[in-house]
Amino acid sequence: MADKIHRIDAVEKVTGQTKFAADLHLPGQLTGRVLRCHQTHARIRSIDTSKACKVPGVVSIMLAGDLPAHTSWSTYPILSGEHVRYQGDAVALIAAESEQAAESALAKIKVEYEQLPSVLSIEEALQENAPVLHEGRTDNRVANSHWPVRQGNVAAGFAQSEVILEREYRTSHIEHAYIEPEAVLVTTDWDDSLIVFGSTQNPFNTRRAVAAAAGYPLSKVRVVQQAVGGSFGGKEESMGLLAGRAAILCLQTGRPVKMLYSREESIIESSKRHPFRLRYKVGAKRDGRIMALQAELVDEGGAYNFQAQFMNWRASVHAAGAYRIPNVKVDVYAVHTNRIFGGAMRGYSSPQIIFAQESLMDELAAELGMEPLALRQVNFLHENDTTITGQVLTAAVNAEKVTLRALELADYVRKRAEYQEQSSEASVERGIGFATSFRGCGLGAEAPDATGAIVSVQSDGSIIVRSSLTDMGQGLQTAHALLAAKELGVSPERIVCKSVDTTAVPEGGMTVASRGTFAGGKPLILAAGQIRETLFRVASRRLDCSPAELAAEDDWIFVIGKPERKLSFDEVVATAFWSGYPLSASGWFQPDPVEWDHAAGQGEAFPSYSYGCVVADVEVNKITGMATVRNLVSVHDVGQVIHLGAAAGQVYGGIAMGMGMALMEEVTFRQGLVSNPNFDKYLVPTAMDIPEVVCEFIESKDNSGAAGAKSLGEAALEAVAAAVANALAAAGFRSRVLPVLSESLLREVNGRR
Amino acid sequence: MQQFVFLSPASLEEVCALLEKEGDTCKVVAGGTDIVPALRQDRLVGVTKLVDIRRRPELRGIKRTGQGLWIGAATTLSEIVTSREVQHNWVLLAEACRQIGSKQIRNLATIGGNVANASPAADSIPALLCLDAKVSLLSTRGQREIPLQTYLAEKEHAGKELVVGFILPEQPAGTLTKFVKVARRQAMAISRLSLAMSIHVQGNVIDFAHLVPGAMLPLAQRLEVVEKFLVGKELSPELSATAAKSACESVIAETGMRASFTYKIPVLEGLIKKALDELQEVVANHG
Repeated sequence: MADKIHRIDAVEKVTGQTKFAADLHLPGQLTGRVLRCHQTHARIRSIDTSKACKVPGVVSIMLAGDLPAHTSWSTYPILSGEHVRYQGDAVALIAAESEQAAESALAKIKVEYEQLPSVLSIEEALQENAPVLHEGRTDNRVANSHWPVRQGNVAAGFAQSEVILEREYRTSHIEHAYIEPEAVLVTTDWDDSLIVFGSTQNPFNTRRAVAAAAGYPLSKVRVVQQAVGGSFGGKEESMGLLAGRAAILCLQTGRPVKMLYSREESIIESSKRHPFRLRYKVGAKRDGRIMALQAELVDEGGAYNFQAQFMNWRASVHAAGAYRIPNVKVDVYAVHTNRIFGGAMRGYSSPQIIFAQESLMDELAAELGMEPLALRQVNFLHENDTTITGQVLTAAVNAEKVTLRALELADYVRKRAEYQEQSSEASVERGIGFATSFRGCGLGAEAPDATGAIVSVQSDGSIIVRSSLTDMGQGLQTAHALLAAKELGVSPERIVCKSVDTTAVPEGGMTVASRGTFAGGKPLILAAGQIRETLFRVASRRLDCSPAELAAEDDWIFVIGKPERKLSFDEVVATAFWSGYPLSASGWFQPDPVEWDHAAGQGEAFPSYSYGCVVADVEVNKITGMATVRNLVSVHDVGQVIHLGAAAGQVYGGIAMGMGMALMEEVTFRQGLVSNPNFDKYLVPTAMDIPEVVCEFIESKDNSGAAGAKSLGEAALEAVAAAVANALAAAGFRSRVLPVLSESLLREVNGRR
Repeated sequence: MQQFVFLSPASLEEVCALLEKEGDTCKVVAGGTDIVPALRQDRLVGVTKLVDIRRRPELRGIKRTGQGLWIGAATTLSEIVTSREVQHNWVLLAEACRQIGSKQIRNLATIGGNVANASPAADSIPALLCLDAKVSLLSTRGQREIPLQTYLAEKEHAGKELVVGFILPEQPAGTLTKFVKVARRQAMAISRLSLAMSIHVQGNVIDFAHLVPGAMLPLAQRLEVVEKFLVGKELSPELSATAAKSACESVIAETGMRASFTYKIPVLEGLIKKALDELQEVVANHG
């Protein structure tokens, strides 16, 4: 099946033809802008818009008191009128005839603040006398963000252990760094309903935000997703707020309103990867058997949060890694601070957790005098083992298989021996290390993995596919086209995939959790299957056989075993259409009910798991402290590969993001305000920083995904930073804080002299 | 967004006349790669005219003259990197230019722009200083040639003069050079520090040494104290170590201890020491 076609959006994107939301224009449109508070924590004393209103070209200025309906969406304020909790909080909206007018009016709004004591770190948030940031709460813990796992008896497990290790690891705020900043254009339809064209990852959530802001029923808000220039989990909160604000301005002025974020605004307001403080305690026998693991994992939720409640569940399930550990106590919770909020970002807590937990495995191996591989081999999960949430794994468990293959491809054993013989006189220190991970596919017990799709065959044989899930650059439409084509026995070129329009497809949940193909392919196959059945019924009459005797392939419908008795797909479609048969079908994937014992953190967490291993070969320059990744090997069990190019693309992209997380990416703050809000100071790896990469897929059967495909998008990223950290440790630099910058490496080099 | 009048004069005389007449309200643009950052940092306040010189043929090209090598100010960094002439005899400059920005930037950015913008972190400047470059300047008062160091020192006070090109004197045969850039990533990165070095050895004795650190001083300059110390000495590991230490001391003496020096000073010391050690190896193998 792999690579019968190129990515279906490749040519238009490479040649610059794709229209993004910022490329849209409507006659009479206004420009919308947001005034932000640039305070970490303050009360608003007064807002004076009198001078700003007089700026020529200003059509409307709105404050919190002018909002037509809700003042917040989910937990995020659309406009703040009294209390601001981080620098991105919006206090006024402007609609103007031009950018210049809006810009000039922004500068003329006078806001007086009374500063309040701020909470700027996890530690400050947890202090006993810390100011409580949200009314109605007794402390700064994010509501409903605590997810425990209780398995066996940790006290007994530690008592049986011969070696006990306690470690703390930290990660930083990370920006998604999508190339296209948030953009939206809102207008009204003839019936006063709202139409929103936007760069959104989850159009149905954007619709919810707009409906809340406008006070409209969902049926009167139509969100039409535009081509998305990257999202990685990020175009969610900020897009909801942006679309909601544009909608209010549109209703207020009666004119279309377009709003675009500058890079600075995008970085200041869009969610970040949650920084974690990860405290682990692990106990093992001398032979390597892990007897107990205890973890307290705290993430910084920021000023508002509606992700930790879900993300921390995933963190709890994966907290012990792909290992069999009898006694486990895990607690994950988030805290509020006065900094930018955490949100979903590719991996959804796993990259942070795996960094700590796989570093811990290497540290434990060193403590036990074992090879990192040997320790893992004693503890790897296998078929019929029980996970820490009490789930018995019945399908193939390939943690060890992917690890051995990755190490072989990386020439790990030879290099590890060679690097251990390095001369201390050499100008670089080299190290090779790896990390193994497993990842629950789709939403699992976090939420129902339900979703929908509509397949519609036209009278000329061309086909329209509409999924409830979005292509945001990951190549989902290509995968969907291939799945529908296979089901109907036609060439994928016949298929046009449409982006999500909330009035055209059923609400099918969010495009998250690497479920676009895994879950999103299922209703599509069901819908295409219904149409195929109809076509077979029609064809069977003309071919004088029963529908069960028919097959479809390469645009032909034919009798199995007698391929000369055939009809072209087009002919059957035409006959069916003119005879009044339905050629449109809607599919819905209804997952099994979700059950979870919240107090003990026990249950069937996920129907299937992906397995991956990343091996990194690094060197540290002893003069500059610069760490360079020389080679990376990435091996994944993803079930069945649907499109090899798109799958490999996910791996390469994941490697770039993971390397950024390991070695350079970090949103920095000065007294709680972001000090690197653009890409001149917030550095991501360039193509020149990406090493030689070997990527391989191990295919496996018996999983629950569409056409046997498991999750990959996030799996491709999640173990990379951990592998780089373990490689650095093998070179002599164990770092428990990410990113590992040259300053800290050089300090360590010089400390040894 | 600030608005500008964009002018493309038909001759250098016209450019100079504009500079004379408009003074600080006009700014010369060649590749344009420093203009947008300047605009966004409000460094173009008061500028109303942009004068495009990129298409002026008199400002482009690389050619050997009686004085050495002439490089037009509007020559792109890519043209310098790929020039055989530069690669053969002034490889230090090619190396420095190769590490600026990215290929896309180097295809637009010009050597004149890199120098005239005079960022302390400009990569071409340490290399040019090492190579004893002269700057050719043109104004309504005529043409003059001054050492690059003088140009940098007087730049702020000088009247409106156009950088026309650079003259690099011939290098003694067998001169060994080195350019090292330290940045946070492999491309699109501003130098945290850099080192340009040009040394000639007779027998085992140094008879010529130029040494310029980049991104450490407000105004890049040769470390003459160290250069003088090196000349007449024999290469040895001890010499490398002493020279590296003295270079760092002279940088600190020049500008005081800055916060970033906690990182930069030991790195500079290491880079100089390694560069001199490597030189010794080259001499031992070939000499």
